[in-house]
Amino acid sequence: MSKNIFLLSLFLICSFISFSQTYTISGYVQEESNGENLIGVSVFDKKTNKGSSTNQYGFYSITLEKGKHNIVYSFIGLKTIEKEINLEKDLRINISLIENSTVINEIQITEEGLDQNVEKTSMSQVKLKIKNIKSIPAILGEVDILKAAQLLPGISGGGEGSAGLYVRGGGPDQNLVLLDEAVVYNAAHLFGFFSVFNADAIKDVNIIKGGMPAQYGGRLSSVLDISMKDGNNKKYQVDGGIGLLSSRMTFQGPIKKNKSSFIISGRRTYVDVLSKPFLNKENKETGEPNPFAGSGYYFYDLTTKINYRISDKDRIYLSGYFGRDVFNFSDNESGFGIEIPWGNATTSLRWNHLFNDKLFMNTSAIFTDYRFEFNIAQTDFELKIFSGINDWNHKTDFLYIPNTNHEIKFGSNFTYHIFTPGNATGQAGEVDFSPDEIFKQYSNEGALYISDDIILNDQFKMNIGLRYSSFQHSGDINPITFLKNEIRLDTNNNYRHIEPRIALRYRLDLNSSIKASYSENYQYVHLASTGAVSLPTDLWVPSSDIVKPKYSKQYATGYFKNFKDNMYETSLELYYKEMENLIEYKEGILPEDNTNTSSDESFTFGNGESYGMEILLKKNQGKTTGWIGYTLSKTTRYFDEVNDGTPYPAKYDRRHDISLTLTHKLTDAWDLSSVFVYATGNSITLPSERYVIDGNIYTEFTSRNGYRMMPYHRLDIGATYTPNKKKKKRFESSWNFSVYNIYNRKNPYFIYLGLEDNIEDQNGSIQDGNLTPKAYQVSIFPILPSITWNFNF
Amino acid sequence: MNKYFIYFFTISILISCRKEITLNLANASEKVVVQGSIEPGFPPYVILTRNQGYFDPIDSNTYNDLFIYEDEISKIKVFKLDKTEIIDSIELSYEMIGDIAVFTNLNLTIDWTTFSQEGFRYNLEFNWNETLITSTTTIPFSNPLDSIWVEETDNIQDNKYNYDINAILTDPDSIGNNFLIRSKRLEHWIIDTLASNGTPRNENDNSLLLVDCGPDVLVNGESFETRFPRPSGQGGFPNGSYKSSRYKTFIDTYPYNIDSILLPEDLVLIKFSQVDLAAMKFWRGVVRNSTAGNNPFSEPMNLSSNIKGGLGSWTGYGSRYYLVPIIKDTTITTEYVPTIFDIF
Repeated sequence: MSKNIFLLSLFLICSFISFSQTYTISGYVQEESNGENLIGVSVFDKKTNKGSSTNQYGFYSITLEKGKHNIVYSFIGLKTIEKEINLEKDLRINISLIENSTVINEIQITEEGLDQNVEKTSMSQVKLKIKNIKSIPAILGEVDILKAAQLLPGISGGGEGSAGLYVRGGGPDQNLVLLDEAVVYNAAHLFGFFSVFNADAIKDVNIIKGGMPAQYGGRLSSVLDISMKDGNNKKYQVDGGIGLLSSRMTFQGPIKKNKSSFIISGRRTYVDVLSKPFLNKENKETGEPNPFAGSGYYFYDLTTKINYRISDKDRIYLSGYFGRDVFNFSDNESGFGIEIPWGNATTSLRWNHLFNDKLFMNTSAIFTDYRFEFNIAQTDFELKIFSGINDWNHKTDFLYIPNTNHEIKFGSNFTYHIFTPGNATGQAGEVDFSPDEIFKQYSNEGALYISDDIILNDQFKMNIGLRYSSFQHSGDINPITFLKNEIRLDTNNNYRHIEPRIALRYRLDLNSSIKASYSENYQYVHLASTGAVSLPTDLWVPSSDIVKPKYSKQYATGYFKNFKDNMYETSLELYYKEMENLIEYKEGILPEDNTNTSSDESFTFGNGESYGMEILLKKNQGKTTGWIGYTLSKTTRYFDEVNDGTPYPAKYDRRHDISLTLTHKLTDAWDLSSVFVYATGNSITLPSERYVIDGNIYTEFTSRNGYRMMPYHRLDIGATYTPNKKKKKRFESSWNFSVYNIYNRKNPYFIYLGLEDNIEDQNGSIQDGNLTPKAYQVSIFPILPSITWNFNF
Repeated sequence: MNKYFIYFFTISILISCRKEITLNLANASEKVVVQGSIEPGFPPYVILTRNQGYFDPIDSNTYNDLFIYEDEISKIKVFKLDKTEIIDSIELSYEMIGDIAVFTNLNLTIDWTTFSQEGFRYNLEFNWNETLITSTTTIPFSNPLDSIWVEETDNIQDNKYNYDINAILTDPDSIGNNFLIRSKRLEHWIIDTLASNGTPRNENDNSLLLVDCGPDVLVNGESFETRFPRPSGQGGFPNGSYKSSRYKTFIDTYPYNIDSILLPEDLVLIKFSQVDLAAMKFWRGVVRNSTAGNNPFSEPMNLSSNIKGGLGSWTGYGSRYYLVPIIKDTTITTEYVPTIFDIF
């Protein structure tokens, strides 16, 4: 083993040594029209066909031998630039790409350079183009990044209308959702129906389903890395839209042209405003008081970002997100009222620095806050329950590109977590039920990583990475208490792990390759849920001496092939994933049992397994574009204390999942789109027996997730009308029409059982024998037409 | 709190569709259901029933078919333990107490104040269908109420006929004092439906109904005022509609549909108990089921039984009883000493 490591090290060292004279071309690539940095632009030398692609900040670096080279910058949808360069010294070349007029009448759905899916070592990764997401029909016209992601193979939603993500058998807490590098703990508005991301403010969406590169960690299943727009640094621009559910507005422009820009984007729903006339304090005609005045629901979010180019080597970015959902219920007759606000706030301050043409650094200071409150009041009684999580995060990432055969990434990541797992304060009359101190738990999570993307020869490319992660849970001891009292932390709460990540690519020809990957991941924070759907009441809890870190290892392999100059992309992937230390509440435990204290004793732990096959066929260019995705998978859970210790299907185990997404450019003014999805029904738990206690009937659930609901399928269609598209005008607008579930399929949302009275208006009872057991299926979202007006000027 | 989210989902369901479906569920295996109780000064008792398939028909015979009688089981034994050592034991036999058929022990020679005591553990054991059924419970130390009184309700204005039972209680300054409250109306005079001899009819409750059960995590060590509402017919906090036909003599000026009220001259027995953790989990589940029903959005959860080999609960109660006549501004200063008929 040690011999192998020595040989590998020797090989790597040798591969760095270059005997000929080389120089480096580096710089940033941006879009000409708005100055936005472009991510994933392919930059390569035409002669040697060696190259690189721009990183998250639009930076590239390519080191070549002295002499003449033709450097090609290509990005689908933008005009390819070829620059002839006589390389005699290191060069800094910043490039602006312009829209490709030859394909202006077509649609492109790939957000990458040519053949990137075949060329890269990474597999199980997808980039989504925001423009394309916006053209997909959506519920009530609300453009949703997460729902678009659900149309990809290997990713499923939680059920009808849900914006939840379940990736390759993982739970909703196993996804690392990053917005400008800040972790977003609850990515959904409206109890999971809509995502928190306003598509108008988003530049890039990168989804990693497996083979996670070493720079990412802390979650088992996936990464959803979302980059916000930097803001137009050429001119002021306003974009907006008015829909049935919400309206939104984005304002962006230069602070100092080509130097600094800003973007601010907001969105708010108005169901509460529209329903206000029906919830007046009193009926205007009869004068009778309205008992439900003051009830309502709304959500809003605000996204903002400023960037400043200090010099050619230094740039800073400050971005923030703030979103809240607020649910109110009032019953004025009884003096009863509830208010439930919850939401995320994130702030990221980032500094890009170029040490030299080969070494790029980004360092970030990030703050994340997620909080949930539940306030209830009646007459002399008040109760406030609150939970949340705060992260103070610092990370530094380096990109070192010594030559075209290596792309080395290394860095560190430290997060100080403050968990407020479930606290309550109350008042009854003059008595306060307030704990002396709010119960909080404090943890430190750290990671160091290094990875290298190595070109071994024309066929072989590999990415090897190591991530060293650590987690220290100090319970309720915060650092200040620690320093003051010199308390020694319990070493049992320290975890340290090495997470290897390996990806291999073997290129069969210019347009096809086979790949394989292996990754191990540890997850130190966990979401504890009693719900069949993800609710904001779910608690984030840290690993401790009882709650062990979750662990997964995933093997994947795939075949990738492109046809007709990237017009068609195809892939077939197989994966197998094992998960350990998954978490569930014990039988009979409720979250409030651990109010103002640790929840650790409330949980039971088990393992999971998922395997499957994913097929993706994509048409990238032309008047008609789109993709077909198919997933065949099986996901199983193994818990000693659940389901009598026998294996059971995971909540969102789906044998078959098919999605078909099409967009078609009908005329200059009209774009059409459609989505069809088919999925095996969700597995649910139903009671199989009943019994009597105190004369009343109770049910017993015997087989966890043992019943399969009817298959889910629906067809959505959409059309976008853009009048006078060819004439460039100062004010432009478009109309988006969409119909969700056009054939009005009654998809099962949930099934419930009940005992119905045999005689109308009389309470039946088991004693009198006048009850009938019945089962009902409830469907939501029948056919739902919607219209949205979008504008920009 | 999740139930409030259901309000939201209910709104969603207004635009939704519900249809009756037929399910093919696996057949249920037969299980014994235990409802057993032991409290200081009284013999333990056990009611045994059996489970049924969820979709088994319900008719006039169903309820009677549920009960398990003496010929189906071995002798039921109850062992008294001091920590882990068995220090006493008794056997239960099939008896009728009033209208209630139970397994208990009515041997007058046994001093029940010596056998059933606070601070001791009690094991239950019997054989049914060739399966050994066992359970264990503890009678916790009881905790008296500081005071208890009758107060005209604030919540229902302009109605002089409705009262609350309020109390002040002090929770001991240690976590784990799980409370359980039951009550029954020993007297409840119905005026609108006179008995055959023309006098008002006493439509009292047949048994102690469960009002609430829970841990003391929020109120630990606190002294505070609380209210003991009348339980609905299914037990738990009232959630049903007010039966206007039943109380029509009183409702002429009564516009509200609230079922938590007590009527004047009712006579109410309050049982305020401490139970152990396993029993609390079970009875809290019963309350949750009664008040919120099955929430389709929550992970299905069975009642948390402490019966090995069966369902139900074997519960030790550290209890205090209070007899409360519903007369305005009455304050009860002494505890009530129950008879064996009062503990059911």
